[in-house]
Amino acid sequence: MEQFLLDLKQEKFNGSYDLAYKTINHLRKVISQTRWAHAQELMNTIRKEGKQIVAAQPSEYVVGNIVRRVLKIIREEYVRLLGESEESANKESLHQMFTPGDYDGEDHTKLLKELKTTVIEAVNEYIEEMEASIHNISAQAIEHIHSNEVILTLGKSRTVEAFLKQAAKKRKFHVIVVEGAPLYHGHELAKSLASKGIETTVITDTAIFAIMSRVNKVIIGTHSVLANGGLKAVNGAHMVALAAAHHAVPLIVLGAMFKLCLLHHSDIGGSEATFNRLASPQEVLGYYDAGSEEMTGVQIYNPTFDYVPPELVTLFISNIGGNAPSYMYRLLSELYHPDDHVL
Amino acid sequence: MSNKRKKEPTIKQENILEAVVIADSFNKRFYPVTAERPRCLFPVANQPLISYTLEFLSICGVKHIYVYACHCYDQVKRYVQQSKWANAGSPCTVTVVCSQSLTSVGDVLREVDQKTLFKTDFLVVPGDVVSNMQLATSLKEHRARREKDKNAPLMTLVLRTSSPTHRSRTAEDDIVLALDQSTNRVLHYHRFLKTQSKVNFPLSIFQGPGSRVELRYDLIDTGISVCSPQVPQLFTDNFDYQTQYDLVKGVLINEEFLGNQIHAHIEKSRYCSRVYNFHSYDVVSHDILSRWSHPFVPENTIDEPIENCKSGDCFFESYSLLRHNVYLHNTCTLGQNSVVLDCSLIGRGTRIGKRCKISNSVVGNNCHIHDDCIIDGSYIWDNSTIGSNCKISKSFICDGVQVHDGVIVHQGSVLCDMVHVGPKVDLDSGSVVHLSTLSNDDFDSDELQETRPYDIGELGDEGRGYLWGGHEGSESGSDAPLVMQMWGLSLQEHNKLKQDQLDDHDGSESELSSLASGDEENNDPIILDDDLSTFQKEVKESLCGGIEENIQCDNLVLEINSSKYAYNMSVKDVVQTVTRSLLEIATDRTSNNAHYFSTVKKILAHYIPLLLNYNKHGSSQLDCIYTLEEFALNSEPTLNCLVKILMYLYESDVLSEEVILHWNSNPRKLTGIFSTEEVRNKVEKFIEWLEEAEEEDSDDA
Repeated sequence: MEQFLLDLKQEKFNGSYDLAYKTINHLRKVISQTRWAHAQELMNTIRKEGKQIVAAQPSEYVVGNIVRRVLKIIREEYVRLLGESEESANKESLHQMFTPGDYDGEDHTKLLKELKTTVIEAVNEYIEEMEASIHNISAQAIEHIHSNEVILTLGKSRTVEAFLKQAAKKRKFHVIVVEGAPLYHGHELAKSLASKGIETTVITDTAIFAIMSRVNKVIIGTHSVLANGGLKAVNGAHMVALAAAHHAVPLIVLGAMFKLCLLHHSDIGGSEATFNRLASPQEVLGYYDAGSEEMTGVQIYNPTFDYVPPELVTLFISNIGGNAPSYMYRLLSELYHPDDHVL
Repeated sequence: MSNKRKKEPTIKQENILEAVVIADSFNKRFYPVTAERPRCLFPVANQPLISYTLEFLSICGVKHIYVYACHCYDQVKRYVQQSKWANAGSPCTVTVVCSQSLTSVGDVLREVDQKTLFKTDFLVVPGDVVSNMQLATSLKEHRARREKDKNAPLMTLVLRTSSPTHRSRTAEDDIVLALDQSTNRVLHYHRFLKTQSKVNFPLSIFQGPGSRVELRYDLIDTGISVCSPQVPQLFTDNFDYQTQYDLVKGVLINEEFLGNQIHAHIEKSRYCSRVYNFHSYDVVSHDILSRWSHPFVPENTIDEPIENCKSGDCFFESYSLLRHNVYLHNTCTLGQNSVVLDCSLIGRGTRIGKRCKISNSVVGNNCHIHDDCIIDGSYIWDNSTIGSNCKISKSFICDGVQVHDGVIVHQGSVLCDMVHVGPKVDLDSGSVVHLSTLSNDDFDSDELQETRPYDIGELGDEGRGYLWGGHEGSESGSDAPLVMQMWGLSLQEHNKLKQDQLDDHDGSESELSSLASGDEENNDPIILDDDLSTFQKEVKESLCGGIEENIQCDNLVLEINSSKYAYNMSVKDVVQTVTRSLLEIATDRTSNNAHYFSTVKKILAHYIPLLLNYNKHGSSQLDCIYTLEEFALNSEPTLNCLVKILMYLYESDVLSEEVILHWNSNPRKLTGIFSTEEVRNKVEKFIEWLEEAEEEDSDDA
């Protein structure tokens, strides 16, 4: 159990899908291995565990999303087992959003024998949904990419890669890859696209604005989607979004539903640790040179993320379809229960 | 199925990676701060130093770590027992081995050998490493080499590149390596001593078959090495090896006999540094705050035992990172108008008053800093109190220190545990204050004399503590100012200092890499210098005694030859030493110039058989005559009678005619009071006579 906490602290995970997968597996283990009598107790356990793992890596919002999602699943299963109709559980949803306190009267302490098996089944279903998310997103590619279009993307996102490759099966189009210094993951993406026979061009980050005028669509991945529809995406995404807006190029964002989170950018405030992730300056300027006499007093930063405001995003494509950023609040209210907003 | 199961454990056994962490420095660089606390428990960015090392090893996949603790071992043991490493869920087992009898790295490895802890390759890591390296590659390289050749590759040193003027380089760890370019085999390893500016490389390393040699001055030894199980045995066999450096030197010298080889792994991209003096403490702390050691940065560390964390809320109490690498603990408080500027860290529960300015500093847990303080580039550990209107720059303040109002602490000061200073005093740059009057020598004895009253004069009316070694230190005659002695020099500073000294001496020496000319026995230039002087002393003594007691030349030859082998001297050294010693004896005996030659002649006459013995060959004779010249250049009486000495030696067949003529026509660049031309003028007539004699000889023929 603690191993997962340590891994989180030391950033031993490979991308947000991997992190989400590890988190849900961890929580499934908690559900199956800890002792609990009724739904309320289980939810308390999950909440306590959730607080810890969220605090271990506060800038990875996916962890909190999964915890809230699991809580919601437990609530749903509990209500379903009680035999109440779906309608009654959902009836006041819009009203509840503004008055979360009133709803608290619900009792989750009834003993239900089958709860454990059904919850675990539901969690397994959710895991399957997660596993299929990339496939579901890329299945929509044909609707968005047309023949002979010029698509610009930034860095490397597995979802974008699958999306473009799926489209390439039917259509012929051109991809411009922004290399994404200092990690240069764009190079890897270009290699992988070219191997599938997609016409690919690599440009430097500084050439984004110059090249934008000939682009038809910008498609990027994202680290997470904030509650207002804004993005926490790879460094340079804001620059891409601004250039696209200036040239009136639509910006399409791909991301699975588990990337949707309840936070607003203002909640995070000035604390760099919770929003951004500052990696070692090594990739920007090697330690070999950075310590030499001439460089004394020079500060080197290597932030990983950018915030993209919602007004620059045209469309958000998730595994359940495309939505405008202004619709995020609605999706969120479906995904998470209002009582779980604060763990 | 059953077969498979049986096989599995054996495979696993081989792949388990184990490490020895040497949690003692065996030196006193941090003394007197280390009087009550081992170096490896120093807080670096508010985490014990050893926690970085253990964390690093566990990330590298080390499964079993043996921590060898010696000084204050009980504290190390207690730390490990309470940390997460003692937990059931810990990714690796940490065993603390305590022994106060260990006095060096060599002792530790001898102990390892006695217990035969390791049957496969293992790591030796100093307990003060901060790193985010992945040792997997160096291990793989090491294993691949071992696979190819079972015994020869002995160990792999892990080195990190850094530019020659890098701030993390210190004068104490200034190395030059000769590597084989294709295999990364270490051919020569030279560590500069304080005043050296030359390196001698043995010629043999350049003569290997088809080898391409790299000379590198851009490496820092991380102290980490991958060792094969033979390494502890070697330490046992050679009981005089104290450090890893001794082993490396020993192995390289004996490479031909024993066939052991040492390789280097050069890390180019990841971070790795050691904390071994105040300067490196400063550099490493700064690097951690600048996030070079990512992911080991303050907001990522869990060091509290997990049990406590679960019951309490310590997970929520962590550092938050603000712009410009400022880290504030969630529970610390900052007063009105106080600012924390770049690369600073404020610990748990610390209160800071109004209008303070803190920059480039680390403040520990539960400290209290009053109003209007200015703190720059300083390290304040836990539970200290700083009064109002204090100014602290580039200093080191340990646990529980009380600095009263209006104190100014200048650069390079160290205030040890529980000291009180102030109010309203001005501490000189480089002052060290300790609570007891420990002198430099009684490191081991526990007698603390507390009879003398506190140094109130220097420390203020409420001062509690003594200025430590402050005044004696300056008498030790080193050129570096006391601050530098205490803190250790960065190489940049050191080079400047050395440059200044060179300028003073009309600096004629070149900086680096002058190759030793041709003597293959010169495997070890550093020791040689010392050995040469002792050898010269011994030869002179025996020659002196030889005259007084009228000892037979044959016996003296035996005596000198045995010294020659004892100090590993070449024939050339012996010839030079003998010639020089004879002249020195003569000079010592007479101050009167008129009688000088007669004295010299008497001595030479006594030793003609000995000289004949050593000057059988032309080359030896040449060495002899050049030594004569060199000596004459600095001594007027010798110069004046040089002709007579040459004549006498010629007549007694010590020097042949060809040698003298060759010497005359090929002046070497020798420096002294007189010039080589003067010498040639003095001997002109003798040379002419020799040449005539030769012509006559040829005419006769």
